[in-house]
Amino acid sequence: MRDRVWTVAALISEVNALLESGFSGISVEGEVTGVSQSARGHLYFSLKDGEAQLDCVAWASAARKLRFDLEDGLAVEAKGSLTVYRARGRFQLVVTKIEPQGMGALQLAFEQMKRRLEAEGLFAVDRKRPLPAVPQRIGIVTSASGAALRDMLKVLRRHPNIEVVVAPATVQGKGAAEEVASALVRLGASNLVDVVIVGRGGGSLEDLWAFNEEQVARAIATCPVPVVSGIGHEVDFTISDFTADIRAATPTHAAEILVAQLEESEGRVEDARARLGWELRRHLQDARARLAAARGSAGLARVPHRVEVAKLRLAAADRLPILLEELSRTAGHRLLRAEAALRRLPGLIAAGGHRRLMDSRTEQLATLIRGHVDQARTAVVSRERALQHLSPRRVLERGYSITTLDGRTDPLKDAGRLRGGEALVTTLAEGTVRSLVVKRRDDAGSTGRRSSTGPSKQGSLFDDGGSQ
Amino acid sequence: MTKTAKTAAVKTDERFEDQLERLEEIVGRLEDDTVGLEEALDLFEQGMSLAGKCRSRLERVEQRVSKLLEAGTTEEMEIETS
Repeated sequence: MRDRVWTVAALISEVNALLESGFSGISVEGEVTGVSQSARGHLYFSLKDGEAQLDCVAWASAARKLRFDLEDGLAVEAKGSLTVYRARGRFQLVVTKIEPQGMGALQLAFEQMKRRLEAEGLFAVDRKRPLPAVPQRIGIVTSASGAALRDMLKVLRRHPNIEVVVAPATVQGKGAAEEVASALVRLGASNLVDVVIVGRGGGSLEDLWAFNEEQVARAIATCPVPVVSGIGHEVDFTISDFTADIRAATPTHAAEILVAQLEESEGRVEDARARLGWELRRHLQDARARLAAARGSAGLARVPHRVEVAKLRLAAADRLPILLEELSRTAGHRLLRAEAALRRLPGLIAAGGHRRLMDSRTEQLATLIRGHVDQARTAVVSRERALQHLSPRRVLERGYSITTLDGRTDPLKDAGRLRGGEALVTTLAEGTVRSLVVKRRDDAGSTGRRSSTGPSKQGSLFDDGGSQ
Repeated sequence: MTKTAKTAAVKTDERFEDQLERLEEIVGRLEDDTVGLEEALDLFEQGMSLAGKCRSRLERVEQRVSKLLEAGTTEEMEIETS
């Protein structure tokens, strides 16, 4: 060998053969430096330690498998084979696999992505949108066959006024990130939902990986409606969680947050309704008390009675909305359950092959359900009608009226202020009457307050009109 | 003319949140003892009308689960939750 004169090519080929036989499938540790990537996706870099430096290349096929960004200064362990780059006569490590030292590749990739998107402002608090007051039409991006979807529907179906639109997506493995991102985009563009849940049940970091990918984070950030994330368990945090408007601990929790929001809005409406009735009743009681104090005589005995009737009706009005609510909710639930049963029935019976039995049973069931629903509906309608009768305008229709001094708009509440000859205007259910005061029961008194019984004539005046 | 039509349109499209706030404001005014009986009746009527709107908004949708297809259309979805 020593006496032979080599050609360059032959020498390099010989050295290459020696290198490849002696240094294939080796692992080298060092610090990454001088990273660059070619247009075709090949990665070029060097590994160095305090004394030496080694050229490395990861061909595009290997580079694509890298989960994290290869950065200068990173301590890694590279696996590969030594080979000679013939054109320059330099040897290099052709890398097939790179692992960061100190933590897993996925963990590193997660940290890098988090740092990058955070720097971009994607997680900023002022980007977070509040939940809609009425999160009623709820979009869900998750696997159509996963436990997460069942868990979420279990919660959402407790509410009769929630509509769910599921955009199914593979949530794990190859292509999962693309599917999740495109499902988000489709839901956002559909205009069918007020809010979106991105959900997936628990799993390893690897299982949840799609939710750490940039394209999913971007789809969440650009979704036109607020996004709630419910990914993995309480302890799992993904890039999607950081990007979402609201992070729920689990898919179930995400559904619960939305139901709670909806129920809060409903509660506020019902509370306001109840208080309206209560406050109006209070005003009426107050008016009655003043009237009673002003008259307090046997001749006016019927007036408090009338107010008592009004009071009772208003008390009923307080309860009615609640009854109505309960009734319609129960009826709705019953109908839904029955419908679901009806839908399942053909499959069940067809499986047994009893076609005719199925038809007759289906019909029976349908008749039964229809009966139930009609009943419930009638009950609701009649209660609603009853409620309408409690409207204050109907008070006039029941024969009450409002009296004012001519030229004034505030209702007359105290006969003590009247003088003979003054003009009164009385508003009835239909039209108004202008009349003159002939005589007040006690012309001399200034307060109009009486403890003794008065002439019956005055009683008839009030029976005809001025009571509230 | 156009302006009037526009204002009316905006009013029907009033957000639930705004309606609810107006409703709660009316309740607040009705709680005031100095309000006369006639005004109280007016407030009650306005309030009940708003509460009715809010309620019908809350009952706008009925329970349903559907699947969004690639084409952007939906179809009913059967899922066993029990």
